[in-house]
Amino acid sequence: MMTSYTISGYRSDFVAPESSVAIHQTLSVVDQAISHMPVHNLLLYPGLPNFSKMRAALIETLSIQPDFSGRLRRNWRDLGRIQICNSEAGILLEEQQVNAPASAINLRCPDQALIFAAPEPTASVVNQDEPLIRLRISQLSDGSAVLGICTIHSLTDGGGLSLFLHNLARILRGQPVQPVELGRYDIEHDFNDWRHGLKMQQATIQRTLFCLSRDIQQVYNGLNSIKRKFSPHQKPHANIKPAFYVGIDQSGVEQLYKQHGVVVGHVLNAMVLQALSKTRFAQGKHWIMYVPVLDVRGRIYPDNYTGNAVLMGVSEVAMSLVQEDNLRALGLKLFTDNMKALKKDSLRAFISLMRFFRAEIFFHLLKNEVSIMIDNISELSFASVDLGYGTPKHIQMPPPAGIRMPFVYIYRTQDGGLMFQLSNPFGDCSEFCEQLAMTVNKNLPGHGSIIKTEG
Amino acid sequence: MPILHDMDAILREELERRNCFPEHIQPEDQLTSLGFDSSSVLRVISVMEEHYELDYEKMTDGLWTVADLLRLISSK
Repeated sequence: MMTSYTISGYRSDFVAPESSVAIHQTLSVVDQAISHMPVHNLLLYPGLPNFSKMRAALIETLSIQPDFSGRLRRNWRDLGRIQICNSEAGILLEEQQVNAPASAINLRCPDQALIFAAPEPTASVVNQDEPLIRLRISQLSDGSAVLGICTIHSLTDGGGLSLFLHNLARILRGQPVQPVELGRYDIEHDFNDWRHGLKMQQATIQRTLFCLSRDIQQVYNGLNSIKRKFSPHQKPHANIKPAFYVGIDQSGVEQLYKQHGVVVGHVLNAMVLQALSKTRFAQGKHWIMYVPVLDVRGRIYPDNYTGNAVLMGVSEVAMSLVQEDNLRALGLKLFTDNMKALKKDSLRAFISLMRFFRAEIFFHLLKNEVSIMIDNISELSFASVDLGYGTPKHIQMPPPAGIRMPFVYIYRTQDGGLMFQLSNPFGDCSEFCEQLAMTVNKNLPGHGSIIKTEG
Repeated sequence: MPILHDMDAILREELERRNCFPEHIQPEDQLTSLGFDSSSVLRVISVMEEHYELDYEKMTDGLWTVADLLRLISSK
């Protein structure tokens, strides 16, 4: 397979809504606290509109979602809270020609994905002229094309991006658009919620053996290392981390549903924990800190909410339960914890904690235990985004660069299977990958496999 | 059955989001036949959490029908 390409015909522009829309949206408490990390998506299409046509459609789409074309500003008159404003600033649109057909590229290979990924911010996105969403169209030699998208997580999540892309698709195909909910509002919470949250997390804090004198220095060191230092002259680039892949084929997925019913996510998560418990990361540990990504769109926020609607839960899972090798019992425990975390009083406690418990400290505490974050995006609807030339033939979401623990995406493949994407900022996770493939094949014999990424 | 009546409203509210409007909802109805997928079933359960005490031990055999959802309810 080719691994070097000729790239030509590069062009770019900032695209803004036709008329300036006055927006001054203060980010929610959660979005103030999370790092404004870039998230990448790569969609391989049978074809894409040319630069001019895409530009015109984006102008119209941004008139519906002007927040996407804004900038992040810190408002010192409002306690330094971060706002989205300046909708006339625009998003970044790029196009390039790549002399390779679709059959010659592998978006799972980080070196190749870098070519097609939209560039990330070169510095902090707050109080800078940094677009909050960047699009890169790569036209391939056989007429197909890759759409690279980079978004800032405090702007939106996968669900919000999906709304944007679906409206863009409707405009390109001459169909009526769907309205979106633009308001950015907080889940109400008060001091009692904060106390409740601290009490809920007390066991977690104790479990992580947080030692004030030793760990305060480490926390500060950790905070400094997390700051991203860029030269103002540094060329924009993307930061694509390597990942490992374990697939379940379509027949295996059908069997999974036959065994477990309509809801199977908790079973998949249980497989991940079982595999993790057999790796060197888990040696000598008595707990796994399970961090599910919870989508509250349609519960706390409206279905058509344009902003970020994902929160993180934290649940302690005893290693003894994981190693019992009872997939149903473990899956039930994870399911119960997820549903309890989604209750309104739990969410209120979580939101109030985020006011005082910055994300970096949260990640550092979890570093003392074996932890795993799992984001099941198997029902994310990018697969049906048709920009005029058909739906994507392949969708790739590289691991988020700002995550400070082992991370798993679970997503649907275009042939009806499922894919686990494993990544670890602290080192190699090939052993984890092998254990997960064995766990899948133990429960769905012959339906699990490791997917190669080289070439 | 007051619970089935309440649950009918909860189920229909979620189905309406998915443009599904079944004439009747019976306990033996398959969730997928009514129009539910995994995420919509999870949303229904999270609504149920606000109204009922749920016992997840009862979903050991999985969730296939409306009756399987009703079985989760231990009290109001």
